[in-house]
Parts: sequence; structure tokens; C-alpha cells
Amino acid sequence: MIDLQQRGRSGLQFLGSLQKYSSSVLRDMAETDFAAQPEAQELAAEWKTDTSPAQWRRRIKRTRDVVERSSAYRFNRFYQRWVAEENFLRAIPAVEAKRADWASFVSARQPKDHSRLKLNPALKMPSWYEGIEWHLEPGGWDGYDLAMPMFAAGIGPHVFAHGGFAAVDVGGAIQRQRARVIELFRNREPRRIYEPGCGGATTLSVCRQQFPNAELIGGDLSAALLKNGHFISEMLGLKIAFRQEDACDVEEADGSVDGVISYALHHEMPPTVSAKVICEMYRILTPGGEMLINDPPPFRAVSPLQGVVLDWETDNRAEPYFSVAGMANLADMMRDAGFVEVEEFALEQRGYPWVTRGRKPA
Amino acid sequence: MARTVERPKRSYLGRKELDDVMRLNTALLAELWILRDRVTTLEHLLEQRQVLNRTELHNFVPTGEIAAELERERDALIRRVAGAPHQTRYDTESLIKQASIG
Repeated sequence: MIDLQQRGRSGLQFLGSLQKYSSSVLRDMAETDFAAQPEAQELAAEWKTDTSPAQWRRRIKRTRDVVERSSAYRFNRFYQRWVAEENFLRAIPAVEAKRADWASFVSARQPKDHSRLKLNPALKMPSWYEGIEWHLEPGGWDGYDLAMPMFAAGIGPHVFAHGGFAAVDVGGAIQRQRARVIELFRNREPRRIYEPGCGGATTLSVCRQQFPNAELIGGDLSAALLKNGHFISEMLGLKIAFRQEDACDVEEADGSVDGVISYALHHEMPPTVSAKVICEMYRILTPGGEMLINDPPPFRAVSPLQGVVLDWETDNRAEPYFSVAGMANLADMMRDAGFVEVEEFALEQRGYPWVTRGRKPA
Repeated sequence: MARTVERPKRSYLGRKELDDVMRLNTALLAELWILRDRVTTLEHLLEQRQVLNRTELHNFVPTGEIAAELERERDALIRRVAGAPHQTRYDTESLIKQASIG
């Protein structure tokens, strides 16, 4: 793709190492500090019972007051925020310095087939989505035209690859986690798979590895992300179809797909919208078809300290729905939509990846 | 959309000024790493081109003029950094003396 210059590369690698340190050494110290607090046991016992959003807010605030007594925790949060900002402060100039290289890379690989990309300039963006600078990225998903190389050649390999941010534990290899989640599809010969809120081709490219013959379709609100996904897909010969559409109202006919994968989507929308998306996915699934969701875990599935860490994302990393999503219950939403055999479980430590899956009755 | 992300108003370490100092410190740590990365890369490149022997560099013991130069610069650096909070005044004469340090 492109190689960053020394300053950009080493600066981003520094962020990866600092985040790794913060999420392992400082985080472990914070856990020890919290366990030593007189309220720790009582909070842990209380945490195991699910409750209303208002109660969760009170519970989280009380726990946070205890957790923040730890100097290690405060420094951990300081570094998390600092790295989250610096990702863009460093990666944008680093990629900008390579704009010409990127342009020549792209021009030599322009997709020949545009039939698999369907954009809808008239699509009205929902109010809950507009104006959010997700993850502190200036302008949000569509804010920077070199976002693809910024992640693929910069933030992805040098920072995110180490894990240790949001719900991803340190050392949690996000690409390996993606493959593990998709391996949970029980039908190993699906005909058609749909991904709501696909972003680019990240998850569907892993689907392609596991399902070489399936028809893969991704929908998203962001034209920029879809164009990037289409470029990568055509370059690698993945043959993924992309459509700009709202996941609450997709173009697919009733009963037209036998698998739905939803990856890290629901914490980026209000729970009321999640419920609508799940109903829409139920509509397009064939009888017997399966929906597989991976998202950060709900508060009830993690320790009190991890709950405070997840809640922190809302006010500190431009994740406005992280907390309300943590209070929601995707499994219940699936049952309400009509899904059966609904189950939920964690694949790795600290509750992530958190999988919720169910079938449409045959 | 303005494409501008605001810095947080809240303090992470208990006081806004403390956060600011930590931002300075962490940014300097990043600069230090970038420099170390560059020097190590430079050494490798010079060794590949047979300009430098890294073992020789590791084992090199400065003596004479180079030892004196290193000591002078080291002392000046420590004075500037460690002495910064304690430097309550400055004068022309002592500043002129620093000209040879660079």
C-alpha cells in the first residue's frame, strides 16, 4: 500500500506501546487498587444483578468514584484519551505526506466493475448519526479523504493491532477475533450473507475467507466507507456488493439472506435503533437463517471496573451511545423480534468479543 | 461539520494544569522515542553501507576533546532542564558564557 515516513511511523508506534503499557501495567495496578477498597465486594455483588438504566447510571457513578481513587487508573485514563487524540494528530500529517504515493497506488488499481457499489446521495442521514466525530476523528467517518490509508497503513497496524482500547483487551488481535466470531455461523454453506453497518470490507473480507462461494452484501450510511470497502474488495477480487442504506430499511427482499453478521455496530446507535435494525434483519432472513452479533459486552457481563471503563468511552472518545448500549439487552431484542435459540456469551477475557446470536424459526 | 475535535474540559489527573504538564511530558516522550528510532535506524543504514561498525560504536569510550565536549553539553542540558524551576533570574554575563555550548 504505502509506507509512512520515519517520523510518522515511529510516532504511531509510540502510541501503540504507550496504550499497551497503560492497558496492561496501569490497568492491572488499578484492578489491585480497586480490590483493596472497602466497597469493592459490595459493588461487585450488586453489579451482577441487571437493572434499569437509571439504576445503572447511579451504580456506575458510585463505582467510578471508588475506582478514581486509584492514581494508576487516573493515569490509565489520561493516556487512553491522549492516545485517542494523538492517533489523528499524528496519522493525518503522516498520511498527508504520502498523498502522491497513495494517489498513484489508487490510480493503478481503479475498480473496473462498479456494479457492486450502489450509492444513494438522496439518502437522509438519521438525526442520531449526523455530526458525530466518532472516536475523535475530525469530521467523523466521512471527514478525511485519506481515511483508508490512515487506518490501513497507520493507526491499524501501529496502534490498534496491540488492542488495549475501548472493549478490546490488550493483546486482543482484532482480526483474529473477527475470524473467531464468524466461525460461529452454524450454517457453513450460506448462500447469501448481509452485514448492516459494514463500514468497509473489514468483516466481509473475513466472511469471504470462510465462505468462498457465498454472495456477500454490506450496507452502511457512510458513502466514504463504502467506496473504500468497494476499492479494497475489487482490488482483492472479493466480489462484495455495497449499498448505501439505512440498516432500519434495507433493499433486501423478505427472506432473502440466510446469514446476517453485525460487527461492532450496536454500540454506535441508540438501543431503540438497534431494536429496529434487529427486526429488519429478521425480515430479510430466510426461515432457519441465523443472525450473529458482536459488540462490546453489556455492563451486566463485566466487572465493575470494566463497566466504568466502558462507560468512560461515552464522554471521552466520542462514542455517544456506548453507555446506553451497555445498559441494553440485545438478546431480549432478538427474542422480541421473533428469533429463537437466542444465546449470548464472551469469547475472550473481559467480556469481548461479546456474541449474541439467534435463528429465525424454520 | 467543522471537522474540529475539542480538547476535553474535564481533568483526568485532578487539576487542569497537571493534565497540561502531563501532555507536555508525554509529547516530549514521543519526541524522544522518534529521535531514538531515527538514530537506531541511521546506525543500521550506516552499517549496511559499511560506513559504521555498530559494535565499535557501542564499545567506544570517549576521551580527550570529545569527552570534554560531551560533559560540557550534558552539564548544560541538566542545568537547563533540572534547573528550570529554580532559575528565578537571568543576566547577560551568564547567557554570553553559554555561547560556546551551542
